[in-house]
Amino acid sequence: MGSIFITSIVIIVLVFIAGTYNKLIKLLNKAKQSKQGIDIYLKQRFDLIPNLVECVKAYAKHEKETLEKVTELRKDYDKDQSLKQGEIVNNELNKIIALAESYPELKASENYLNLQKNLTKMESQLQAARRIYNSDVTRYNTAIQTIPSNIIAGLFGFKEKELFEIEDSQKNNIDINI
Amino acid sequence: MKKNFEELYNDFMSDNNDELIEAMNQIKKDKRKRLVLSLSICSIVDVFMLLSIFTSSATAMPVYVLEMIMLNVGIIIISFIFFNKGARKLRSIFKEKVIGKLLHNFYDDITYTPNKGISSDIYDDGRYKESYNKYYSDDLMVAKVDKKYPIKMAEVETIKEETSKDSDGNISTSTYNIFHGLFGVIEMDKSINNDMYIFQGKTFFNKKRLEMDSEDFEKIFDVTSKNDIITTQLLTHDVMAMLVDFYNKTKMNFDIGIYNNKIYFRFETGNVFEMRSIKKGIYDKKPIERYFNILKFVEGVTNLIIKTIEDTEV
Repeated sequence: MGSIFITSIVIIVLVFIAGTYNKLIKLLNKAKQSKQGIDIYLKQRFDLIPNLVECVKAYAKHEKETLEKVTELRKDYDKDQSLKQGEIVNNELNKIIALAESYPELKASENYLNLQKNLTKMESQLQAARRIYNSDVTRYNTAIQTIPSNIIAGLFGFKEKELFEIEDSQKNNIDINI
Repeated sequence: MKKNFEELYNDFMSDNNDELIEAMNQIKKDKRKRLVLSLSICSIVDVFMLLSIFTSSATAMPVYVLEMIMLNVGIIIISFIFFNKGARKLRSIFKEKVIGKLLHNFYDDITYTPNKGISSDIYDDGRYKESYNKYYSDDLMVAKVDKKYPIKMAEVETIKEETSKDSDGNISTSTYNIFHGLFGVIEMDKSINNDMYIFQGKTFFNKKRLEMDSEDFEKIFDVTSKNDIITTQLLTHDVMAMLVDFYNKTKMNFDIGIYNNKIYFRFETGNVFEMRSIKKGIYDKKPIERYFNILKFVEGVTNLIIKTIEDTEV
């Protein structure tokens, strides 16, 4: 009788551990998948940097420094594909788009308008991807912090993931007016 | 310029009321006619029935009494059906003067046909995963949103009727109300290249739902979509907050489906755009205010969605 009781308890505990572990893995994978979503949109957006630099260079010769900076940052992103680095490049890219306000000829150029349209579309998609990422990470973080799944999280070394936060200085540059 | 409810209501009250007075007089006439006719017919019928009762056996007496009561009730019902001209007129004035004006306040180029409905084919294009075998629709409104996008809206009722046979061979029919309320569709120029559906989750656990970044929204709504990014782009915090706010204020179930360039919406309003009581007349403030608020929200939420779609590069 006693052994049946102990066996039942062990089975229940094992089922609980397996169930919670699987749930945490699913949440973690979902967060990773969302991060990849951001990476894809960032990459798509950054792939337009050479075209944008060429286009802006033709009309805004005084902005050489800014253009070189974004190209360098783009190279850095290829090495360190972190969310933070991605956002630094993205922010710099938005600054170039904002530059067009000071160059009417650039603003009127068909090539630039097409680029700007694509960049705006990608920025909007990027923002959606960030929201999905934050939502998934919040779910994952909540799971590893709350009882009883925090016990399993601690046991198997699940670590809290960082939420995507837009710094105030960056927030201002993200709005793009067509 | 759209008017608020009080301004509109004042307009109703200052309207030329000749037609209304005529309808009210007709109602009084109908009442008199009904009374005279039903009293006369009932008296004749009752005399014959009483004669039969007195000449019949004691066991047949309850049957005759029951028949007499049923005949009297039948005569009164029939008199209501035949002498109802005034009430019908009043209802038609209500639709024209009140509902027509309410709709004009929110939409452009409007054609309102109270006795016509929206076709079930259009309703089915809303892809509601429910089966029905009876479909009713009236109060069709065809108009334009912002003088640009065609909108069709009507009251719709869908019913499922099921017939079953028990072990004794008795056939019984059960009816279930599937949906009753306001249904509409807006056609836009721009396609979102996606299918998305926002609804009040009726299941506790929905695997296919898209997880949104608003706790309040998630408590009430489920979202399914083909493309999560586009759906998240369109379901901005403003849109989600508006949907949550309306639900919290009204507790009314509603759903919105956006399929490429078409926005389908349903609001479970029950009977809508009808005069509540003949006694209270066509200017009964409470139901009119309710219809106004429903239309205001429908217009508000669809405009916000349209604007978001217009502003978003998808």
